[in-house]
Amino acid sequence: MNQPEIIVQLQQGDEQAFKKLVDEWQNMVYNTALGIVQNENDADDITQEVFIQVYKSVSSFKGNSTFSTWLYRITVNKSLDYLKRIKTKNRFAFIQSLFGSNHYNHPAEFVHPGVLLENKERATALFKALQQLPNNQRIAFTLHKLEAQKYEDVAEIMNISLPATESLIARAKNNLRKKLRDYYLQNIV
Amino acid sequence: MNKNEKIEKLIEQSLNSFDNTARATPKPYLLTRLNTRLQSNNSGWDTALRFLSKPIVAAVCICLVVTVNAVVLVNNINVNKSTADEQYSDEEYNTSVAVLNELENIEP
Repeated sequence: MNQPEIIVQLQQGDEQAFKKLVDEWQNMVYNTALGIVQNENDADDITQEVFIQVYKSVSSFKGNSTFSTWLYRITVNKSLDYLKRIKTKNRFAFIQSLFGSNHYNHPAEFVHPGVLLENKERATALFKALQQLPNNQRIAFTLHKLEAQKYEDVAEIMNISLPATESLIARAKNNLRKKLRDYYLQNIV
Repeated sequence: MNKNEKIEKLIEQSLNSFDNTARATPKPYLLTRLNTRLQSNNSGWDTALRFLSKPIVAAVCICLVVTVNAVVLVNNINVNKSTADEQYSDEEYNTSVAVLNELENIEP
């Protein structure tokens, strides 16, 4: 079944089409969310939110972009919303910790389950460095490297021009180099 | 290999560590969990809560509560003022016998 056919059936409220859609796209949505939020439970939660949003707003999908681009956009937006919520929560928890209660949530080290065994240690350092990047650089780099999206696709998903995407990813790499250098200076040497 | 070269090599290895990464998969029974969530989202309470949590609705509700409180407060002040006036005039012109009796019965 091709994409437009699934969309039409979904717009008509076909439950089977929704099942097929979830089966086909769940790994892509989950992997993207996991790369951004770096927590398996939260990525699972975001995946559910994405499909609920798709189910509810599929009637508004006009086909101006491909379905995958639309789905990536929803996933990225939901993941960013989550990061915003976590930031607010941590800020509040930090203030609380100043007054004695100890709920401040330090980000834990994240190991992506799909990373090759020999790359695990390096990937953990890279994920840690990614946490410190601005959101747009983080998203562009994650889509390009973890989801293997071409620059053109990243540009379409993020709704920016191709040169802007190239510059964003170049800046992300430069910043990551700096963060990684600091990390290895502290931890290895 | 000196220290800087070693670090540069580690950085390059880290930047390329996402290569050939397999896609992670969500926990099993995602569709079942989704259906459960969709059903619970369709309940009346959930819709009402979502409506109330919209910023504009919440702001209007807060304004309404503040206005009602302000009106009640102003009314109470007016009522208290008029009651105090009445009490003052009652005390001023009170010549009831009970008060006179009480004054007489102070001493045993």
